[in-house]
Amino acid sequence: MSENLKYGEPDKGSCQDSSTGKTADDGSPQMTEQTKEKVSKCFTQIIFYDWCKACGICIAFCPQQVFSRNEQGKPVVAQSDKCVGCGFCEIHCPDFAITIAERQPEPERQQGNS
Amino acid sequence: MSEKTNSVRHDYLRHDKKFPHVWCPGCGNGIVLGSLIRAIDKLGLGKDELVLASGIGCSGRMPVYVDFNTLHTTHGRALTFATGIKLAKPALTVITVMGDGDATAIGGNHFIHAARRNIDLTAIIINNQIYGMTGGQYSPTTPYGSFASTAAWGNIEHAFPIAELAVTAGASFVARGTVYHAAMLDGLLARGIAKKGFSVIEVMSNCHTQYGRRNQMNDPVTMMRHFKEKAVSVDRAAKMSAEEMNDRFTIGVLADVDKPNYMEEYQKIRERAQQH
Repeated sequence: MSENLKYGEPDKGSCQDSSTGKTADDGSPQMTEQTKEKVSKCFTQIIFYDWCKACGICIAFCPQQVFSRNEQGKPVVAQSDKCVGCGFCEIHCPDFAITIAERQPEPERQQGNS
Repeated sequence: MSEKTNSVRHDYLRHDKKFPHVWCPGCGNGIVLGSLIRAIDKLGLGKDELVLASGIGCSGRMPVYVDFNTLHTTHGRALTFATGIKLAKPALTVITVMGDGDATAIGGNHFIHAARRNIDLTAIIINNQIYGMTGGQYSPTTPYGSFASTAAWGNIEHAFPIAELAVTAGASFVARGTVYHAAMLDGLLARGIAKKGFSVIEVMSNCHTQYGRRNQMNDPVTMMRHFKEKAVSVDRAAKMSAEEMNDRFTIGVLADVDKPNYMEEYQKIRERAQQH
């Protein structure tokens, strides 16, 4: 992660969701140095829809409400930048349909849906 | 699936042939399978050094999805087949995966005698508290008072505590986990597989299709929250009274003892006999 990343100044190094245009620090006004460091890590959520059976475990238990439900009941990545990379959805997905990977901010940003 | 981040799963799963699996949406069996794969990866065991044997039931489908040496055996007899494999090829790491009905009802005798004999196997018992595949009949682990298709007015029998039974029967390593505590389960499975001697890992799993539907928990999320509420760690359970522990269960390592196991003793007998 880029060390010279400043709070409130999203640049190439910040975790920014290209679909909504929201920055990582949205909605969390009081951030300490520690949380800033955490937010500056970006994660990508890869959902493999062919294997997903829409059980809803990932949507219900995500501590950051990263996923929202589509009309089939399957998760869609709504707030990718909020992901803290805890991996709960990945290890609790009974269908092996989610992968959380650390994202390098500089190269192309990958959207969650395949 | 793309990306090399899935390489651990890809190494061990028959992902190109058998997926998506047949289990219901949200079934705990998939979570246990994921945990097992991570535990094996952590131990660094090769695919050819492993045997996964199973009985009949939903859990019996598990060997279909993994790329080890696998064996899908008759109902309740996973441990007997596994005993045979272990005696013929002691170098192999033999894991059995059974359901609660498979292990404690149909294969109940095999289970307690494998524990008594202390043979070097790992038994993973997925306890979903019901016979899920056959239509929701009550099993030896269905809690008192809960409902099943053959207990429409509530179950009047009492449940087997599988882990405690294994401790009493003499297993070397006994642990209980839940599908909600999946990260903890990775560690328990790894310790169980590495242990010399009979190790039992009971996993409380959700069958919302057959058990939950009849007991006001008809989705996987509710059942997992139920496990989160009812699970008590071994340390905390020691401080709680019997009334508080009434409808709860302990999770963690219940027994970890070192004693002579069958494979070592059998080898000694062979050596002694050959000297004569």
